Amino acid sequence: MGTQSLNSDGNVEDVWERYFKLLYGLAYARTRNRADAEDVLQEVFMRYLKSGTIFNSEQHRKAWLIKTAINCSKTLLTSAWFRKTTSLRETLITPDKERSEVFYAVMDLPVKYRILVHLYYYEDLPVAEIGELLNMKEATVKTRLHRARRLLRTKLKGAYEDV
Amino acid sequence: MFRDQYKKDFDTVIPDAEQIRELSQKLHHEPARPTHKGKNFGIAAALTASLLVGSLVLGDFCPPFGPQNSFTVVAYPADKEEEKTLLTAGMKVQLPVGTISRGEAWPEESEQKGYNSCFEGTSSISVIGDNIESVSYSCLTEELHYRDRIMKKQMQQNGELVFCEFAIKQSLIPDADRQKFKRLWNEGYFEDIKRQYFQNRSTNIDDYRITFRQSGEQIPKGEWTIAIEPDYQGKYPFEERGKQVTAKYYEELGNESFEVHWSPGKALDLVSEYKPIDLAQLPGDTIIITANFTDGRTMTKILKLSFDEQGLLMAQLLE
Repeated sequence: MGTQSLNSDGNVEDVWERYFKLLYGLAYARTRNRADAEDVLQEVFMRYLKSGTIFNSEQHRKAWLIKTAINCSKTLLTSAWFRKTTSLRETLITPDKERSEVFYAVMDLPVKYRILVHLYYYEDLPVAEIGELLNMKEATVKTRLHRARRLLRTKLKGAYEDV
Repeated sequence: MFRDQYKKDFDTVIPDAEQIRELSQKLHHEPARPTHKGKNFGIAAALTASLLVGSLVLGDFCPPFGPQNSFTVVAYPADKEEEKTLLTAGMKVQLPVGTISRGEAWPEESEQKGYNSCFEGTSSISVIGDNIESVSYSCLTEELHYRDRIMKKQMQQNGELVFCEFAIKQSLIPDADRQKFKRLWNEGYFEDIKRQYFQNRSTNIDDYRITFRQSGEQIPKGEWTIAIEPDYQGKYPFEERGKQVTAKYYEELGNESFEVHWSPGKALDLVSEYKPIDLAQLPGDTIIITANFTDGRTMTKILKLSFDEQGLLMAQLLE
């Protein structure tokens, strides 16, 4: 399969248009907070603009952006400020009539499960690719997804048997 | 049904349009990456700065056989080599690379009692120094992971990691079922692939690893990309995991050649146990780092890793 050389400084607007929703969603799934997700999004694109990475393919670029978004939100989650304010922030997820209990059940999962569930069920990424992105063994991803599903089934009281 | 519902729900998580517009404008007005000239200046400036820092740090480690044979231990979050912490002998520092924590208790229906446990972040440990041929790391308690990036790249280029990739209609194997693929393979459905890629290889599909992938662009078209790979049983030649790993020097990677990862599996198991936990009492680890220099000499340093009461990873290079 041929590869195309794609430089990071070309078509920034196109890259932004193509990926900002995906990256914002990912950051939100980790931080559960719009303002933090916007901060993460900004940081990811700042890094992208400053990066000299040459991408072999669009898939490579996407993987780089997803990985950077995960790392940026990890940094935010582990910052002392976030830890001190997190209990208050968690209460900021206000119920929305448009969303079902599925959304709240996923958002209520521990972060290590939440991100896997989001990548698997929303971004439709295969387990192997999730493992690659999160630097985890495929078996670990499978185990965590299994545990996450078990938690979800409990939270959803058996309403979604296909989870 | 669950997947569809989650997608529908999550589609309501829409970023604030005004904020996004402002952010987009701000980013599009960011100066572009430095030109080559500017970049070289940047590299030169960074090099000067690192030499200054390096010389200050190396002052602490001046070995009896000359300043060339020395190294500094550094730690940083995965993929963020620019945020490295230089470790100075005797000083205990908090590493910005990970926090261990206990989450919710397992649901009552679980077979066992316990808690979710989590280590946020991946700790990368490396060394900085000149004339180093390789660095051996060994740890006493947990597990180290080293990936030889150059070997991986070479194997990729030589086609040793993927024998072939091709797209098929998703409707043919809707659930990415390997058994279904195997049946179709044996029934002669992929004869053209066999002819093209497997003339000098076994055509017994059980000898290989099959992966199904799908990119965003393939979803509307309903396609899978199938990759047929040699089956390394999860033990790739370019990866080492265990209590002892050795990182080789590659000129194209410089000091990044020596990067290894440490993960606290045993500590996580303890945090999961259904009993009170004092994070500061978790086992941590001792990592023995030996640099092998090009002149045949070696130098060893010992790094102690521990957790504080909040679960933050602390490091101390022993004097």
